[in-house]
Amino acid sequence: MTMESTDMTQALSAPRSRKVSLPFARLGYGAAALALLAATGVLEGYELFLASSILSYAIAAMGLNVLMGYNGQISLGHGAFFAIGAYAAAICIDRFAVPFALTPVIAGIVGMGAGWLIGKPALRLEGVYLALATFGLAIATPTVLRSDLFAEWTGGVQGLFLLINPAPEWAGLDLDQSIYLAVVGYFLLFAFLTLRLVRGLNGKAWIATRDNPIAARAMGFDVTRAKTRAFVFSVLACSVGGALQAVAVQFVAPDSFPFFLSISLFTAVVVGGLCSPLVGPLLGAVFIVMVPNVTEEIWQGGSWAVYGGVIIAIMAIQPRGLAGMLGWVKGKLTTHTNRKQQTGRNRPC
Amino acid sequence: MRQNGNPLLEVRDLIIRFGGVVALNEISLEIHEQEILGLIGPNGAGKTTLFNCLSRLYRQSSGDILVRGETITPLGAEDMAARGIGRTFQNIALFETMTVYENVLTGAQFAMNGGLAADIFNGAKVRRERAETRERIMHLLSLLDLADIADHTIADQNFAVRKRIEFARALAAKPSLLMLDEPAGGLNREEVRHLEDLIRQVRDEFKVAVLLVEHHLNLVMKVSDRVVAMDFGQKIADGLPHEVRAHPQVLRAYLGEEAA
Ligand SMILES: Nc1ncnc2c1ncn2[C@@H]1O[C@H](COP(=O)(O)OP(=O)(O)O)[C@@H](O)[C@H]1O
Ligand SMILES: [Mg+2]
Repeated sequence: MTMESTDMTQALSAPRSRKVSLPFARLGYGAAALALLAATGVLEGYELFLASSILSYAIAAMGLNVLMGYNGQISLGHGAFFAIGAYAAAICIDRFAVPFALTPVIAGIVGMGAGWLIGKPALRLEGVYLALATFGLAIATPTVLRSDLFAEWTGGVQGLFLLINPAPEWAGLDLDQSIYLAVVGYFLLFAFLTLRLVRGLNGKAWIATRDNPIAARAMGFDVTRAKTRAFVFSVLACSVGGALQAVAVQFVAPDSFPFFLSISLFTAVVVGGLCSPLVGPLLGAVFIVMVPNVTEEIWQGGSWAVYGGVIIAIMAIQPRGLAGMLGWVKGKLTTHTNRKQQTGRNRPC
Repeated sequence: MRQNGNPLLEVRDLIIRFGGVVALNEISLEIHEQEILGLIGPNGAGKTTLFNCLSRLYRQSSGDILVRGETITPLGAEDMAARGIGRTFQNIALFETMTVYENVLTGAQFAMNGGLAADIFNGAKVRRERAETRERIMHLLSLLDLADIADHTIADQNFAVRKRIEFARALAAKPSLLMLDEPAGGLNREEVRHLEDLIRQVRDEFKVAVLLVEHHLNLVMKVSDRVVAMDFGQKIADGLPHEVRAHPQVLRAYLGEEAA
């Protein structure tokens, strides 16, 4: 064996791809992380808010991509978990004066609990049935949030304004910068978790379950456990994303979580590119946050027609979404890349 | 043969019905350690159904299955890899979007640490285990002439290559019983000869018993230590290859009434 032992971190992928891509990939990730951190000093005010917003949607999309891309389950209701995370964070701040940077942890725990409760029965459903059941969740969410029953905690129709304290003075950060840095921290954490899981045996279990559940069982994969883990991870990411979004906006209200939010998250995952673990969700988040604003400028009043048209165009050109387009461009630029891997249309992951 | 105590696999009076069809009708058979047992029978005889039942994808209406004397009837399909029962599929059941290497890896993963913490922290022990597995898989891939396409996707591979990938994936689980469902299907004469050597080599090197379902009678008769013949869900013969080949009921099942 000639290819052994220099680097064992990628033992789960085949030797050649490991050899060529790993050092470059490491450098790329490091540079990207530094750039995100450095942006704290470059961007200001509204730009920082936009960036925080995009990254918190990207966290949610990363998780949802594990569920939809890697594990092949369709959800049209993850906006509900985004809302649960947002409200958990808001109540933590409003009631218990929890430091804002810690609220995603609590939101994540609350969200996972809800995800597990809902996931248990929901995961008996497959394909369009799961999609519809989760969609029901999304539709019910705003009404529940608005209801007088919980108004004492949720603020009812009015919602909650959040009083957020910036980082301590010695850190020299204003409020926008403090929030942005916390968001970047969670984003990097989820990027790391997602990559490790997706490239590890859990990723194999997710893909095997999606590709051929019968063969997956015959190979000893616990299909139910794989599905549950994907679902719970997606819910965790969505509730953390929701918490960070609430912190960034400093306000939650039922109208911030319409069922359309679930469709937006779905759109971010698919338009970004299924099974591109980081780049896809990030591009997808940029898409759902920025594109509606841009199209509004192009054609006031008709912006949704433009937005819809762009979605259709992307899917027609490259079903693997924006990440797929980026990969295609990269393939054109680098000559040494293996043809087979670039052209493998049947290889979403 | 080299057996004292329980056989590796014992099937007792297995019955499976699908609605009105009795796909298996009181099948009983035994396989011993490192034995190559050929299983023949016309299309629809129930061979694949027996495989599916042994791998717990189907549940029998009655009867029992024992591995080294212990029943596996209550177990699920996901438990069978750990019980040492591996298989290939007649119609190919690979993971289409994975590479060749990753497909074979899925055969080995049941014995590895696949926990969330193992993936996330990727500690020294986990890394060592995964590196060792990779070495073993690369060996399997070279044995089956797949090393050059280790990182190619399944989608690019033809039927014969896919069969070999399934073979490698089943072997990666280090089974004690390897069940091959028509491994020669779609192979040319040269490839069938090669398969014949391979099955024997694998039995000797990996010390597995083989349950071989095959329509290619020459292949079965040549490599098998013993042959069982089935027709309409029933066992019609069980014995040495030349005995089964000459058995009147087998001749009738294969050649039609006029030959009998
Ligand atoms: N899942 C199933 N549902 C209904 N009938 C089945 C099923 N699987 C197999 N059968 C029936 O069982 C009989 C045996 O089939 P099979 O085991 O595939 O035969 P063989 O592999 O020997 O060609 C056939 O009549 C087939 O139609
Ligand atoms: Mg068959």
